Amino acid sequence: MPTAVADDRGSILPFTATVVAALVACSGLAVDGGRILGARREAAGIAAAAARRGSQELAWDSAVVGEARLDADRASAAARAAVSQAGASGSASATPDEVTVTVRIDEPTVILRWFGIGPKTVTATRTASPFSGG
Amino acid sequence: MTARLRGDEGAVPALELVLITPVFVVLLVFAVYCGRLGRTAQVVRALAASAARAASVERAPDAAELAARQVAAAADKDLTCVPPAVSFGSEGAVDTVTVRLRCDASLIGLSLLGVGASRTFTESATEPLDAYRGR
Repeated sequence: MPTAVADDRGSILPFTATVVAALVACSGLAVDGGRILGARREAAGIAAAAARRGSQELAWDSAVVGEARLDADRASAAARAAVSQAGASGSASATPDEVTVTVRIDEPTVILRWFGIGPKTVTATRTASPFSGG
Repeated sequence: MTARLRGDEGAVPALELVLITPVFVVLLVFAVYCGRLGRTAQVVRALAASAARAASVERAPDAAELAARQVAAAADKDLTCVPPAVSFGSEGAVDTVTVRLRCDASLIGLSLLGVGASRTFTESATEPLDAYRGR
């Protein structure tokens, strides 16, 4: 009989530990999942802004005759500068017609780290092109 | 006698479960709270970015500020935002517009945690001005 009592007392502990761990993991999904989504959105925002910045580097010889064409070297350099100005890393390439920027952000996890889920890398690619209007 | 004793022993884990359940509930509400905070911060940041983007295509500072305010006014109903602060600067060769937005988010439904009825989020976003948009 005494052994049966001891068994009963111990039986709640694994259950409690499991459920607490599961609930903490749920909090981790909420916190870190939210952070990753936010990082993805931020990467997209930085990429779009940098691409638009790059797309302002018009080639002068085309601009004087009213055509919106890009100087590819200046455009990609300006886009890269905008990315690093925003504190992110990434790459940019340009053609006379458009600028494409890819931004990469390494987002560390706060709670999921305890469960062995490490930093998550998010990337976003955005393209901008100049046009003449109005 | 034996049967009654077994029955008593069976109630011990049940009693512990009753005692631990409030802790579970608080943890669960905490998970919801974490999710709500993260989501709201994202919504405010997205709103600031939209406002900055709207401001960046206007042709005059007053119009830029008005555009930013109009975007910020379209916030969710559980957000209370003050009109955003619009400032202009430059990064290297290009002019930029920065929108700084402060919103109070309602935390109704989470009073169990004792975290207060609302929480303030401040986010800012910077966009390059379009140099060729015409003036």
